[in-house]
This record gives sequence, C-alpha cells and structure tokens, in this order.
Amino acid sequence: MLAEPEAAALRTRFADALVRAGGEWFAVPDAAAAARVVNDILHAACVSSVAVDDTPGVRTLVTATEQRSVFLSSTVQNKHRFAEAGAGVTGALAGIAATGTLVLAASRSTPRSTSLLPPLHIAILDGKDIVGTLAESFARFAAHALPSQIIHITGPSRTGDIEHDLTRGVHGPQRVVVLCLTGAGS
Amino acid sequence: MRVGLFVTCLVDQLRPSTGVAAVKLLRRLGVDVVFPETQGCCGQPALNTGDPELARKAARAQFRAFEDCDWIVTPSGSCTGMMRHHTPELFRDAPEAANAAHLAARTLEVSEFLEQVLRVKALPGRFDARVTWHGSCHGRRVARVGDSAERMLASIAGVQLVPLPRAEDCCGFGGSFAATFPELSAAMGATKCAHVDGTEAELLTGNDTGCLLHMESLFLKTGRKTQVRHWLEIAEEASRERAPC
Amino acid sequence: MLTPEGDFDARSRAALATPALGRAVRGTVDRLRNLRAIAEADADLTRQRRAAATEARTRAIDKLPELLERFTRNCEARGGVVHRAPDAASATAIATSLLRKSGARRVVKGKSMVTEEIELNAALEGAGIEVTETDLGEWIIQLAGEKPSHIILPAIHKTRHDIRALFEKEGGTPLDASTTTLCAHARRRLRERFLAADAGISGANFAVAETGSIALFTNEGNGRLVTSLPRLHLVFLGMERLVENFADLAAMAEVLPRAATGQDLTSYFSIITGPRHRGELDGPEALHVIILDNGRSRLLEDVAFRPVLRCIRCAACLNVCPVYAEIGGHAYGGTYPGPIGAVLTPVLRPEEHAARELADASSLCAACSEACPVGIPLDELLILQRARNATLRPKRALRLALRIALSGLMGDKAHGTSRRLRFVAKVLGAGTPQRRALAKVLPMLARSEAVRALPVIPPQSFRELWKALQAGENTRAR
Ligand code: SF4
Repeated sequence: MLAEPEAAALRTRFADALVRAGGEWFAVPDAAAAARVVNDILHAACVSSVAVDDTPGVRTLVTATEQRSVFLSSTVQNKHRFAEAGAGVTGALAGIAATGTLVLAASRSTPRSTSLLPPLHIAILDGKDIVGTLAESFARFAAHALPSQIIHITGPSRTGDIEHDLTRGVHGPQRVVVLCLTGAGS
Repeated sequence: MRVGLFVTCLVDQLRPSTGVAAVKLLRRLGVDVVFPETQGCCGQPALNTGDPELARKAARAQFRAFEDCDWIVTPSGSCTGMMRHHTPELFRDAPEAANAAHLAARTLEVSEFLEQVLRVKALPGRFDARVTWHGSCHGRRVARVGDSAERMLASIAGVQLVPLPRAEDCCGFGGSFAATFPELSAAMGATKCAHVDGTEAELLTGNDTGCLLHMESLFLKTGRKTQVRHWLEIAEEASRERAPC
Repeated sequence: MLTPEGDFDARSRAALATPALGRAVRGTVDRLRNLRAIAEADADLTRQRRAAATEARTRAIDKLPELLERFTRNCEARGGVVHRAPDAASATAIATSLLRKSGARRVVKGKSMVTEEIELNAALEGAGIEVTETDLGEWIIQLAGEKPSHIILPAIHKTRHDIRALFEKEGGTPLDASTTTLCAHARRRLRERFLAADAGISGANFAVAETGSIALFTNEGNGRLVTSLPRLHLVFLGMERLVENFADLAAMAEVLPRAATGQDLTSYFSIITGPRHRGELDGPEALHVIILDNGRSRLLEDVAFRPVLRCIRCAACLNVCPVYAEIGGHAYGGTYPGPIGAVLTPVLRPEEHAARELADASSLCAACSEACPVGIPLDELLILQRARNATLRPKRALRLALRIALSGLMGDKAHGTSRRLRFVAKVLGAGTPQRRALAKVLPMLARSEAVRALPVIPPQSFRELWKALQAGENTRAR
C-alpha cells in the first residue's frame, strides 16, 4: 500500500486531470459523508429516478425519498428505465491519475447502461484504487479472465462535430461527478 | 578551404541577384567562393515528377562538378534537402553511394555555413526594415536546416524580425505542384499572404527562391506593396561599406 | 471508391469556388492543431510516446498473419465469431446475411471508416435494413446524403446553418442554430433509434491479439451505446489494426487521442472482449468481427509501402496539410482524404488512374510526415508513387517537353542548356506576343496567369554575371 503522501499526490493529479476533462470532483472522508454528498447532488439536480450499481459499496449510499425512486441496475429488464432515470450511480474499479479516468467493468451487478444512459453519472471511487497510468490499471486485469467490457470514462460525453464548438452530453452523460473516498475519517 | 557555390536553377535563371549577393557576402567574410561552371540542377524537379533515374543523372553531374570543393554552399533550403537527404536515398545500395554520402556531408545552406563553419555570431552592417520570415518547408523538414538563417538575419543591426503566424505552413509553391494546380497553389499562397499582412512587415524574406518568387507573384497580382527579397540580399546590402559621413 | 466526376484538379477547383468551405475547414483544423500542440508540448515525452507506438505498430505489421490468427483464436474462445472478408463485396454480404439471420431490421452504427470504404450503408439499405449513423457528424452526413470529408470530423465542411436545415427537415420541427439546441435534438432523435435497434455496427480502433479484444476510442458515447444496447454487435476491423497485447494498446492510447483531438484520453475508451457474459443484462448476446482485407494484403507484400499499414487514422496529417485546409476532403474523391488518402488510395486501388493521380495532390511540404504519430514517411511515399505512376502515364506532349528541358538541366551539359533555356524564357517572357499566343494553346499557362503575376526575366543569368564577379575579384579591395 502507498504511503499517505503518495496517495494524496495521486488523488491531486487525478482530480486535476478530471476537472480538465470537464468532470467534477469531491473528496469525502468516508461512506457516510459520501452518502450525504450523493443525496445532495441528486436533490440539487432534481433527479426523480436513480439507477444504482448492485454492489455493497454503492447500494447503501443512495436513499429513496418522497421525490425520488431508486432502483438497482441489476434488476432492470427494460432498457427504457435507464433512459428515463435522471442519474446513474456506480462504483469504479480504479482511477487513472494521469488522465482523470474512471475504470469500470461490465458485470451482472454493474451493467453498462448505468454509467451511460442517464444524463448524470456519479461514481464512487476508493482513493486506494487510484493508480498512476493506464498501463498500471491494465496490469490489474488478468488476460484470461477479462470482463466482457472494460469501460474507461474521462469526463462527460463530448462532441465537436458542429463547427468544432465543444459541447457536452450529446449521447452519454452531460455531467460526470467523482466522489473519492479518502479514508481520512477512519 | 575551397567553397563552391551551388547557385540553383531558379537563382541562376530568375533571381541571379541572390547568387551575386551570396558571393559578395561570403567574400566580405573572407571566403573565396568559387562557382563550378559544370554544375546543373540538384535533380529535385525530376524526382518530384516521378523520374528518379533523371534525378540520379543530375546528381552524378553534381558529384563531378563539386568534386574538389570542401564545402558546397547554396542559398536554397529546398535544394539542400535534395542533396542532403534524397540524393543518398537515390543511391542507396548503388555503386555511387559513397559519392552521394560525400556530397550530402559537404552541402550546407549558406546560413549553416556561416554559423557552423565560419562561426559567425552576428552579421556586419545595418539594414533598417520590419521583416518577416517564411522558411523553406524542405529546408525545415527534409534538410533540417533549423533556424540558422533566421538567427543570421536577426543578427543584423536594424532588422526587426516579426514572427509570421503559421510560419511552418507551405506557401503553395511546391515546384511542379504550382504548375499542375495553379488555383490551389494560389489559394494556399493567399492564406500565407493573409498571415504576412497580419505582421505588417514591409519585407518578406526566406531561404527558398521558389517560395519567394511565388509569394511575389501573388503580392503583385493582388496589388500588395510588400517587398520580397532573399535573406542573403538583405545581408549583403547590410554589409556594404558605407561612406563615412 | 472514387467519385466519377472529374479528377482531383477539377474537384479541387470546385471546392475553391466555395469559399465558405475553405473558411469552415481552415478554422477547424487550426483549432485542432492548437490543441495537439498543447497535448504534445513536451517534446521529449512526445518523442518517447511516438517511438513506443511506432515500435508496437511496426512489430504488429511485421507479424500480422500470426497476430490475426491469435486474435481469431482468442476472440472465438470468448464467444465471438470472426469472419474474413477479402473484399468489399464479401464484407457487405457477410453483414447482410448475419443481420438477416438474426431478423434484425433496424441497425445503429458507430463511426467507422472501414464501413465507408466498403459502402456498407448502401448495401444494407438495398437489403431492406434501416441504418442510422449515430456519431453526430456521421448522422449529419447521412442526412445530407454525402460522404465524410474528414477522418474524425466527418461534417467539418458543414456550417451550423447547414446542420439546422438538415435537422429541421428530418425532425419536422423548427430549431435554432445554437450548438446546444442542435445537440439536444440529435440526442433525443437518436436515443429513440438506439432503444429500438436490433443490431449495432461499429468499427474498431484496435484489436488485441493476446486477448481477442476490440478497442474503441470515442468521445460522444454513441460508440458505447451501439456496443451496449442492441442484442447483436457487428465489428468491422481493418485487417491491419492489430496490436499484440495490452501493453501495446496502452502505448496506442498514449498517442491516438493526443494526435487526433489533443486530448490526453478520449471521453470513452472501451475494451470489448466477447459478447455479454451469462447473467448480464446488457451488452450484445452475439458478437461478430468482420476482418476486411480489400487490398491490404497486397500492401503487406509491398515493402516500400508497408509502413502505411501502421496508420491509426488519427487525422493529424489532415489537420496540418495546407492542401487539405483549402479544399477539404471531398476533393480527394475517395474514402480517405488528405495526405494519408493521397498515399493510401493509389495503393489500395492501383488499377484506377484517378486513384493513382492523387499522389500529385501534394506540395510535398512534409508537414504530414512530421505530424504522424507512427512515423509514416508520407511525403516520401508520395514521391515513390509518382515514380510508379510515371511508368504508366500516357506521354503527353507537354510532359515530354518538360522532360527534355529538365534532362538538359540535369547532367554535364547543363551549362549549354541554361543558355538555351534563357533564350526560350526571354522569347516567352511575360508580356511578349509569343507568350500570349502560347497561352492560347496551353490552358495551364493561362490558368497560371489568371492567378499570379509571372516573374520578369532578368537580363542576365547568374552564369553570365559570374564572369564579371570573377573579374572584379582581383581588382576589388575587401
Ligand atoms: S498517416 Fe499518420 S497522421 Fe495520418 S492518419 Fe495515419 S497515423 Fe494519423
């Protein structure tokens, strides 16, 4: 495990690169704080329906309210449900500091659509999972047991196809928010 | 040290004043430059129009013409690129490979010769003008002449060298290209003209007579007042002894 | 396939006659160049990254047959199916039959130059299958009934007003021309297509031999939608786009986005290994990879041109090309525009005169070779292609005359030729009656005179002046 100053340096690099790519960054000490921030973001964005990864780290963070319903991505049979959701909340296998990139993998509990169809993507990233480079992230996968899709996400969806006027959210999420658990609270 | 001037076809035929300037400047700097009269073309037009055999023929004549020179200096970045890069390529694995390598190793654009051989730091004299620089693409990317000519030019007292935006872009000359696609060549030149206008330079200079003639022909056609001169002509004029006042 | 109308000369003149086109293209490539300059500002790092990428690609091309075989084995071990298509017709036939068999009627497509090369859309539509391009630029082009004019920005030549008109026609509702409105419209309309599609078709930036994976670099997210939502996914892979392993893929990820758009990494970078696993609720149930040859094997045998197979279609060479900037992509008449198009089209279609002649469409300034992240010597390959063309070209009178003049200048007789050339130049100099007569019979001369003032011939050549210089040498004091 990295010493804390090195981990902090990786977090800073990740945050800088993410923001350069148009993403948003929050450092939170622990899960309880993460839950508060997630719910605040969802409230501020007036999200009425949220798709959530079916993983222990994410499931418990998002609470349903009177204005908002929450459903587990792993139970969705009809893709239209994702399309109607106002936000998707996922975990991340890793973060790449050099580029501010989130590394996700498709699985039964973490479908591709959660981070793709809703206009707002919130990702929970454990600070311990931030690595320096893409090559280091690759090294974490075993060549013989790859997921069906590894997804690298660097900021929001963007296009320059109209007079090279860069615009967000043409197909994928318009906002990508990363909540990084720093472990400072434990 | 025997220094041979390779004057190039375009200078010989269309802008001899550049060759004269090269000779006079070098003499003033103490170099007894010679002009081997059997010299011809570097072969670039032949190569670029799909005739490598003819280009080899040209190169062989150059081997002979410059045989006894220690250095071959030329006012053109483009011809430097031909003799330094393409000629050895043309004779790769051929019996004359050594001749080609020998030619390449001795060929320098005049500014390179001034900097690397004569170790000139600053050119003498004075020339008061606002000047912008368009270098030869071949000089830059094939011969890799670098910024020596710009440095030599900037070293002349009174020369105000204004950077040309997108100076690295081709002006649209390209030898046979300009003759094959005149309108396209002129359109590329028009983009270059607009950049030159932006510098408010009174004079455009460079190290390739082809590019300079091309730009001049466009300036004249469009009624622009910008003057065009090879940098050696500027350097030579600056170095003329002036009567003491 | 090359468009039939005219040759490069005619098409480029037509492009120049549309000033809005040049303005649009110049503005955009200028911005892309600035972005790339920032991304590649660290010269040492850029050199290292390029060297690693070039090494990975060179090694892959050198053992391409072996890597293709490994890719096939590993892709099929993960449940994918690999098809080999020797040419365009067989590639489209494979796709059509796969779609028919699965009962697919509606297809969404991600950006893919290979499918442009084989004109897939026309073939599928002919088979009664509805195809929707979903990359914003590609959709614009599809609505306009045109071909892409840039490798990564297919609609670079369109203004926002053109785009608004196309979208209004398609959607039947009035729109304003702001980027936000136009993008929101595209998102809404194309979302419906994604959700309704039976099959997704994508290209592939790279295929990884060791894992049987497909790698896609995209920014909009349509590539992810195409490969995640429909139950069937067809991948079109150019035969040369192999890398050996993940380490090489990482090396490519270091250069491709930087060279293409000046990004450190594209918004999305997906690595797809086989269809969805059991129990997954999205992702395709079946994955087919169609590997296209279409002339690439021939290129592999052609030692001189083999480096072209390293190309990663980043378009950096287009963005720095001063020819491309003036005329855009359509003037090249083929699938691949710009310098890479001028090099690739003649070797992919050597039997077509119009394709071969694209080698002339360059001033040989070599900006392309300098920009290429995998070190393809584009300018030198153009020169080589010109030499090949010369052996096939009809010997027209003008060319012959030029050749005679040139051959006189090249060789030991140059001195005498110079004098003769001078005489001709004087007689035919600007403004002489002979010159005016000649311009009447030589249209190129007239075309030149229409755009430029021809140089005034000085009274004496340098050779003549040298005598005086020599004489002066002894008398003058330095
Ligand atoms: S030739 Fe080089 S610069 Fe041009 S598209 Fe291919 S890889 Fe990019």
